Amino acid sequence: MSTTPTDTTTPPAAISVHHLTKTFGQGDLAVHAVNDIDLDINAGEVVLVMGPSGSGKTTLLLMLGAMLRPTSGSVLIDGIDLATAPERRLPALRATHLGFIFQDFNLLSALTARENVELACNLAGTVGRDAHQRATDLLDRVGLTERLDFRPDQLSGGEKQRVAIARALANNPTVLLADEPTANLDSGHGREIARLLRRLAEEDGRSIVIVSHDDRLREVADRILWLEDGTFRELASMVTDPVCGMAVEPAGNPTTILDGTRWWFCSTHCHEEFTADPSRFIRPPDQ
Amino acid sequence: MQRVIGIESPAQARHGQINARGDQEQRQHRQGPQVAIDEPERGQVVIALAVTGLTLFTATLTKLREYGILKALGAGTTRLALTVAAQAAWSVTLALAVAVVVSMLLGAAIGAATPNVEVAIQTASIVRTGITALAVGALASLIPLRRVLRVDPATAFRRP
Repeated sequence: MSTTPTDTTTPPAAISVHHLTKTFGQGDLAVHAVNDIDLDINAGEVVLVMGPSGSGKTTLLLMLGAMLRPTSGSVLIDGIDLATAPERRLPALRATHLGFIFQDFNLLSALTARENVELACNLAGTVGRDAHQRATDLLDRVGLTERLDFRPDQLSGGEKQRVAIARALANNPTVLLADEPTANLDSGHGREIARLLRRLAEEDGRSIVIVSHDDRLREVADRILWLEDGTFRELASMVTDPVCGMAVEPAGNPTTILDGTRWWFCSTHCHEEFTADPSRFIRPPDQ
Repeated sequence: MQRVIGIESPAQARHGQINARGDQEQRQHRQGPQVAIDEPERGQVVIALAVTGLTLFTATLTKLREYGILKALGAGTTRLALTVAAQAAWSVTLALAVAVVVSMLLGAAIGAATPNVEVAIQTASIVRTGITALAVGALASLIPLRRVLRVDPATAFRRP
């Protein structure tokens, strides 16, 4: 399935993925973690990739982040094909073109908030006072002016993630790649982070790819892609499992009709749970 | 009989030229056997290498995830090598400083407890030991460096 932005008047894509495939193993044991994916993402666009565990989300993110070589296909960022770039160039490409936001924040525990951001500036080639000033400015931008010299263990989850976002911006990247950025946050902090990512896309024109299970991120995404078994599925044609809330393709999945309404389930387990007591999962019409 | 334990050069030890605390007069009265702890022998260097290497390796292993994060953020081979080398240099320097202070305190304690024994630690010996320790540290840092260079940057995306 090809997934391109709906607005055809927009400039060329900031990220362009063509026939991207990653296969682990060979012969009968081969597993296509990502299978022949096409994807174009514009500057300033927020794309949310959702899907069940093991669907290939992280594999896709690793390939977009120049950390995993695809079996075939291309990943073009700023005109550079990450899939064919020499291995020794990949760290420099990551340091200058990509920003990463991780679920576990991944701040270096011995460094302060400012030093964590400064380090990323250094890796991108900005050093000394310039790096110090840039780190200060970025932390100010994410609302952490009062926490510059705090170490990660002195920060809340939301604050840590904001430091991580400031660090991801240190190299002024074309693309931000976020892996479950709200998974370890409560709902308030999760929404804060979601809005911050939206703001970065709008104000800076950055492309942001978010891989997540978190429905809260739907409201800040321009596009939502459903990845399953290594390929994108048309979300509009999918239905929601009333038990686990997962998007499900009607074809080939368990189904039942109750009071004239048909329900679909991701698995027999959800199906059985539903049929045992449907009232637990069906909202009364007035709610 | 007074025994003099000094950290000195082999040549000095052979000729009994103990230069303890700069007190020439006191030294002239000493006629007892002199025990010199000299520059490290090859065997001692091997032991130092093993101990330092193991210590650095263990310290690096506990931080392997952070090296993975650095790689994910774009740190190249040279920067990682310099980081590991800097860690080794700091560890060795700190260990040397502690060792010198402890040796001096111990020497003073031995001298006070046993009047016929004097422990002398010369600056030149400290410098020699320091250089050897730094060289050992640099060599030992190659052991964890191999592991650091092989760490997968994708580690940063995995749960700790």
